Amino acid sequence: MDFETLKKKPVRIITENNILDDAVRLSDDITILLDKTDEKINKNFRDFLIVILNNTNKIQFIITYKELSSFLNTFRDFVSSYKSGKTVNTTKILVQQIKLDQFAIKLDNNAVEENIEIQKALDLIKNNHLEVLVVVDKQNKPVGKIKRSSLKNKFAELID
Amino acid sequence: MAEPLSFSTTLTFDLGLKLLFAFIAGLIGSLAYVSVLYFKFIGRSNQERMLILKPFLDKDGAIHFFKLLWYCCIGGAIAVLFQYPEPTFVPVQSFLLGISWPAIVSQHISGRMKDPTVNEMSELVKPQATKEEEKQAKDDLKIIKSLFTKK
Repeated sequence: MDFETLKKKPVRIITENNILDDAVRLSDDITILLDKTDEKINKNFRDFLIVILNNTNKIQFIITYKELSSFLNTFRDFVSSYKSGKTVNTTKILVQQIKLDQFAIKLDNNAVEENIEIQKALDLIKNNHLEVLVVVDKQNKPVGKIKRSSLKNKFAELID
Repeated sequence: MAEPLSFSTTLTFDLGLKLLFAFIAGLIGSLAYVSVLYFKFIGRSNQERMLILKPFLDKDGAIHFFKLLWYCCIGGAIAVLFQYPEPTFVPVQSFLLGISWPAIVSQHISGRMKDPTVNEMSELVKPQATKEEEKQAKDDLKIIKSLFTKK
């Protein structure tokens, strides 16, 4: 298969399926979000991705390296407001209490449906300067992701 | 008794002979290039050589005769084109053209015709995030973590 043929194939053939590693639920404690953020920043900053899911596992918010600065500022302000000079009692604070909509990005700009052509996904990555693109099913539930850093190897595997 | 050849007939015959020799020299040049690859005189690895040789091979990995002939004939034909305006036979030029004709062709094409996939792939895999952004994010995260433990 050459590159031109590959670009007409559905995006799911280049999708990595481990997106649940990047998922945090709105009902989770914020320490889970903090730990996940810490893990992702130190693992590979450029591939940073956290998807925030609701109770039905649909994507509510996406955070990539681009949103990270605003996210961390909001997170810091939020924690500061709970501090009151004492150790923060994080056991009662949920992710949904943070005003994620202040910085979170629209799903349309960072996600594609799993059946669209690879070409469209590549256009989105290129035009929006994305490092990671989320792949969703028709119900907006995450099925995987495409990392810019992995594209070269993926293409090398699939192109003759 | 056969009639002697006229001046114009001799000229055409000479030109035809030159072009035929140029074709053969170009053909040999192209064949030499494929042979150099096949016998592993160039290329840093088998993988690199196979990138070029693969189109010449059949399903069993042997050289496909007609594909090789096709490639060599183009080398010969290009050598003929360059030989035509020359007053004398230029075998070295023809031979070199046979070797290097793909480079000559690729130099004269432009835009979308010229290997778009390599450029596109390079652009696609170029990272966007910067080291400064990474450092800033790590610093911000440290502050947040300190807030969790601060008394």
